[in-house]
Amino acid sequence: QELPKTHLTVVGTWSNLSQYKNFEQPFWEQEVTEKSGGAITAEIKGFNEMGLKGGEIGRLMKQGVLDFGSTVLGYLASDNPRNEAIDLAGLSPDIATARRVSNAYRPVLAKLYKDKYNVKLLGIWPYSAQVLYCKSPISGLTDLEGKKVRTANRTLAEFVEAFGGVGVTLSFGEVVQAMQTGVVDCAITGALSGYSSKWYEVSHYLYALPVGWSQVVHGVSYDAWNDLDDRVKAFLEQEIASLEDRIWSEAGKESEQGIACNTGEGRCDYGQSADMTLVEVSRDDKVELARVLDEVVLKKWAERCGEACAAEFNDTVGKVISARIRR
Amino acid sequence: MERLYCMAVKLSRISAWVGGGLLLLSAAITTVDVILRKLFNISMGGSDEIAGYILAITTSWGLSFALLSRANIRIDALYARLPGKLTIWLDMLGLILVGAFMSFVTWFAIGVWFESVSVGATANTPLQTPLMIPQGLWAAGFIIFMCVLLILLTRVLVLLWRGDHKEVSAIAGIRTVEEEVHDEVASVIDHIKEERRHAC
Amino acid sequence: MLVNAALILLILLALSVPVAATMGVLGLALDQMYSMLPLYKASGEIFWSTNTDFLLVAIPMFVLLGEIMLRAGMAERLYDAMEKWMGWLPGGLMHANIGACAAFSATSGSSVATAATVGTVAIPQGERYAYAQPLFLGTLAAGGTLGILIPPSINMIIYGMLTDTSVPQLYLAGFLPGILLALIFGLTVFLICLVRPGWGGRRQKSSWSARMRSLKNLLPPLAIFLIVVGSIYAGIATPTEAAGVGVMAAIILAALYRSLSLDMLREAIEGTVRTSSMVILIILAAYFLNFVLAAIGLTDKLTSLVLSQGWTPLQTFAAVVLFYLILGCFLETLSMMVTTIPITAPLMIELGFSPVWYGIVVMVLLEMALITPPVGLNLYVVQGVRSRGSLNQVLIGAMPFVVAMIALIIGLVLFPEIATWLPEQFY
Ligand code: NA
Ligand code: NA
Repeated sequence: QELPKTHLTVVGTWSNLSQYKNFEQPFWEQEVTEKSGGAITAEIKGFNEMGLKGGEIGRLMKQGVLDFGSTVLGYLASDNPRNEAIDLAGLSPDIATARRVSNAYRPVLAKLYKDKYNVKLLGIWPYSAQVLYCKSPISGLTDLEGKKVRTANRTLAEFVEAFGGVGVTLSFGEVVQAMQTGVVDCAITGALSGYSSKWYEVSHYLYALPVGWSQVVHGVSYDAWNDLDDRVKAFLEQEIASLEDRIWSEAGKESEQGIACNTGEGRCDYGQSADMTLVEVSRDDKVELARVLDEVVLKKWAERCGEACAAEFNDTVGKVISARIRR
Repeated sequence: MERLYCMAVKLSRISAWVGGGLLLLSAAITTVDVILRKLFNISMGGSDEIAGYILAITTSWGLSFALLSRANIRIDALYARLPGKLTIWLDMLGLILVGAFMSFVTWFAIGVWFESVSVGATANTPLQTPLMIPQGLWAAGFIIFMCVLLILLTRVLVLLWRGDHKEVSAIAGIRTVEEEVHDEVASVIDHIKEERRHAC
Repeated sequence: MLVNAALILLILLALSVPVAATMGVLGLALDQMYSMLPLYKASGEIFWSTNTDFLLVAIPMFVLLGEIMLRAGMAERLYDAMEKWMGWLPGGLMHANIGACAAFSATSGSSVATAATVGTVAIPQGERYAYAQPLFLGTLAAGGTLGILIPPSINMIIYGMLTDTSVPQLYLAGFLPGILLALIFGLTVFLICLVRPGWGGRRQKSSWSARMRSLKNLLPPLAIFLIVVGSIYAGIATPTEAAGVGVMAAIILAALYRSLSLDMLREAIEGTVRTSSMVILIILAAYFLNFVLAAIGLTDKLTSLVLSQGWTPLQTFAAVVLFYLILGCFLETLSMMVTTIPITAPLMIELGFSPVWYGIVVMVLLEMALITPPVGLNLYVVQGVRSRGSLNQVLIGAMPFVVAMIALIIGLVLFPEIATWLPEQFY
């Protein structure tokens, strides 16, 4: 049947990155309109195009300044540590786990956003596998000792420090030059985005294990949502769920491509592959990783998140990865 | 009124010193951090974050001083060609519009602080700074600014009432380039004279 | 919508409403007129996240650095050395003016500071040796503009922030064009003095021993340059950190020259706070305005309007240059940057120009704006420093250098490598 004419305004993630260009923008500017038979039109802008940093999205939606919005989950962590839960450093070593973790924790986030921001959570998807690029040789995580590593948030900083590394904060644009000149020895970013930004020109070792996934959350303010026709709501929920599926499966491919393109191990569809050395994850590393996750990452996070939050974690994510926060 | 205005001048000067002192402190912290990192491979972590907070506080605390020293950047293409009596009205309009916009900003800056207090926001950085502290200091600077602006506006109105147009221009008009440059290079000129004297 | 926005902007500016308030009020008005959503409520969050941006920290640092160097008398000593080395050329001291401006630019992030500082030292000399006033003053006004093209540069930092371009790359890219422009300035003086030898003033010839002795005067600026720019490429600091380290270095140098005192420091701080809090307020208001413009879709409208003209990239580029030439006559450079870069930069990038290259072109356009009447800050600064005679002399003297800048822009179009070669060697 015919949907009522509706116009939506959406704020997406970084407009210069592939997720926005390949998924968010075509989804809102074309797919939604086509699939609704022209009834629904939408315009989208990346938050960076609006001069925002991403962390304000939640608060702005609460104030009713924005209707539909996406942001990187971790950017909201200053408002509530629960926003770190599914992207804690080293929590999900592969994309299947990352997705199960995200799904398990979804009800907690949905409730959080409803209570704190008056926002309906519509989707969670990953940006891409966050991997470690190093300039000097490393053979595993223990080699991080004494290295200066650029980290973007507190859980990664705690992770690096647990291995004896030094966390350095730098803006993304400063990393290539900082790595080239030795301000930092290593840095963490997406497997494919590091390739596109030519990080392979200044770093030579790529550690294969994803330490994070930079999940994105997408939601809509209840004020705007409640004004929509029920059929439009159903349509949007269904389409966003399918968008979510597609982004997850693409992220898996992108992570493999990122490694292939950076190291030349496997076919690279994005251009000439670089010749970084791929550092495989050893048995010892896996043991070390589990220990640091348990003794440092989860523990420190639970300290700032509190008793109830830790219990929620154990009931949801904890069951997926069979880890528990002990108090 | 005169006394109130003098108090505003003092208050703005002191808050500018606080801001400027913090700025020097931030330069010192940054330098120490750079040296430690280069020589000893130690990162204090978060010197950039603190510098950001200090910048915000210096900005808002310095605004009232900038206002009273008429450091507002204004286009004088038309202004310079108008008779003094007319420019006074432009000065008034400018002050009122600055006040109008900044009252929005001040109100919502307090809102930012209040939100952080109510959710107990902490920065997503290794420092985990409780945001209510820098945001509170930051918002306080805007409040100081609004107070000083109100005092200035009142004084301008009083002067207008008395018909003292010259004084209005002197406290709220556009600075002439002569004034500008005098401030910028006065000490240098003194310095040069000093050196010449020594040279001769 | 476009017309209304432009009208409000022009009227408020013409009424000399402070630039920050102009942008803020325009944002509020457009929100009221064209948005369904209460965009004004975002002002607090936008102000906070922009105001704590680490990149912006460089602005007060550079202002403070300049204030300290000025008050420590480093500029006079620099000028003295330039005078001894370049005074013999046809055009004499005018080459020293340009050389001193170029050298000082390598330590200063701002054009106005460069013109004011070098002008203060140079103008008494020019009067002493009977130089034709217009051209002599013109070299100072124009030479001062090098401050934003030769790194470090506050304007490049702001451009980098507005367009997500790497500041170290911009710095590298500005190097050759900056030196080239200084050389073109020198050539301009040389040619004019060949035609009209009378404008050249009395040449100064110094002995080689005096020249050698004067070299030590170049050390303090060189030290500052190595710390503020060199440390970035030596991997010691990021551009913003380097500015902070530069401040500490300037304080130490001032102490070595025994010109550091509590009074001096207090004056420097007051000057810094006064200038930088206003500059930053303008940037914050511009971010709020840009948020409103993006939210109501005005930015897109403007871009698609230009794109729909069916011009080739080069024609569009020429239109943009012309736009800046005209706008630059009337607008102060910072206001011009923050209101236009968010619109023109994405447009030029979409047309295939490199953001770094375009950044350098913008810097040259801003330099031009600084010396074109009626609103040309460097003209006023130089006139203010000499504080007598007619402004017209400065204005006429600066004109040949506008032509020199246009020549540089044409050069940048024909040989983009002038800007892009150096960064490519590094990245
Ligand atoms: Na410079
Ligand atoms: Na101009």
